[in-house]
Amino acid sequence: MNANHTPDDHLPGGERFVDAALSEHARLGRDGRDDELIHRILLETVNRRPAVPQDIAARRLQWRPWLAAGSAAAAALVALGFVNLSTPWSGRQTRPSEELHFTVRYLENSSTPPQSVASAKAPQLAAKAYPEAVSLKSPALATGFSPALTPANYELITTLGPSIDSLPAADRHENFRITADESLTSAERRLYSGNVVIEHSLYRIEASAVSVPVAGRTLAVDAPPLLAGNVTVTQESPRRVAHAKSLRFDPLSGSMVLSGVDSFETEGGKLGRFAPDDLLVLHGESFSVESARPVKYASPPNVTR
Amino acid sequence: MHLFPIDDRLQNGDLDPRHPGDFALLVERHHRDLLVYAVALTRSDATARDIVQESFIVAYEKASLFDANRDFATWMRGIVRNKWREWLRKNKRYDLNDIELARIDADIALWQTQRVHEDNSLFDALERCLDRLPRTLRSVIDSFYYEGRSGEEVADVLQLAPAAVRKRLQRARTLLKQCLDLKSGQPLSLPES
Repeated sequence: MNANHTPDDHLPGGERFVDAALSEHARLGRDGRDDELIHRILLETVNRRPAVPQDIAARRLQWRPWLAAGSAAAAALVALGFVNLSTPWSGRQTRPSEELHFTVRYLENSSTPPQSVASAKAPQLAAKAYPEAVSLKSPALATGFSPALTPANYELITTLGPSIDSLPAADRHENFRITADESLTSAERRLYSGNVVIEHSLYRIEASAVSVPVAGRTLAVDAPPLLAGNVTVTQESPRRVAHAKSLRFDPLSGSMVLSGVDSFETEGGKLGRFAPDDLLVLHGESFSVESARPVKYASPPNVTR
Repeated sequence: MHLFPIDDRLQNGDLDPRHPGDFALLVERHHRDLLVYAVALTRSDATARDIVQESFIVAYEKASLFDANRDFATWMRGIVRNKWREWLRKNKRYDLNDIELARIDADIALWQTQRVHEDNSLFDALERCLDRLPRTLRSVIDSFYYEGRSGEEVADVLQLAPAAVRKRLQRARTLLKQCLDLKSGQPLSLPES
């Protein structure tokens, strides 16, 4: 809701309903889908169930769109490439594994005249098959356990709108390897759960579950390309360890955005007093804490008692 | 108090919260309305999300107690309400009186029922009502809610007195409420508090 209110503001019941509807509409948009909240709820409920064999689960969940991003979205700010979709594994040494290759490709859109952010057209998304396997540059990834990979690469190209023309023109690549005890597939998302480990060139992330899009799917604007729950993020250099309820990868900036942070240990000391709304943003060697908007008083509360 | 007819089969859509797959669909279907409800109760986004999350967890754990002939949305509102009362006790926040609580509950119930029967979401109707607002009120709503300005900032931008901004916000919310009630086809007639 608009932080200009305080919880003690008193509005009549009818106005409070409209106030809440306006606030949530402003926050969530017309679709009104809070993906992160849904993800958090499912992590604590249906996804805490005992392991289900992947192929059975995949068949059962094909028709369920509960993790799906909005399929009709013609816009996405990121370009994604995926390398390898795993096949069902058996045995203790072979766990479901997937490697994701995020490519953020910036294309000039010179034909579009300057316009305001509010009126900027949504970015356009196109996809084409990419025939070659993508090499994993990270030593951590290269030495990790890797079941036989099946090259299945896609390259998605984004034409950025004028509202973000100021971004650098060079492409950027982000590689992830996800391993977990089990994986479930819905129509548009894949969910890994049970001792999930996500390896990245800068971070090692342990999580209870992680959700990623199925390769080849178009992402909705707000659909998180990688969303993990109950995470411990470890960074070797500089040494940092963060514990949080949720993690979202922002491919556009390459940042890890943590919410519900319990603690954050750095070489300089430990931070442990995070507000529920605080976001911890890890970006390479830097980090920032984005606090909730300051409470401002739009209107003095009517004193009724 | 206004009572709303509930078509249980339509409302639940033959989904059974005791079945994990159905429960996931119910989460997706109901979380937005419950968020609006919780925000109306708490007036805090973060608290509202926590309450809705905890409520669904409770619902999942207690799903075996749920009577499939009952309305899931009503059951969930009850859990959200209980969680909100717990939060009030812990935080010693301002409490709504029973009439106000009943009014908010009725507003949400109305839209949950309406959506099922006409596939007419609250946010769709809200957008249509926003389009019908007088320009002077719409600009205040846009600036305050959608651009996140404080009342004083809105006053600066629109060159109005802060008191005028407050008055316009109040009037806009009242008009939107009337519009939404008409959209839903069932104007409320609750006793005045």
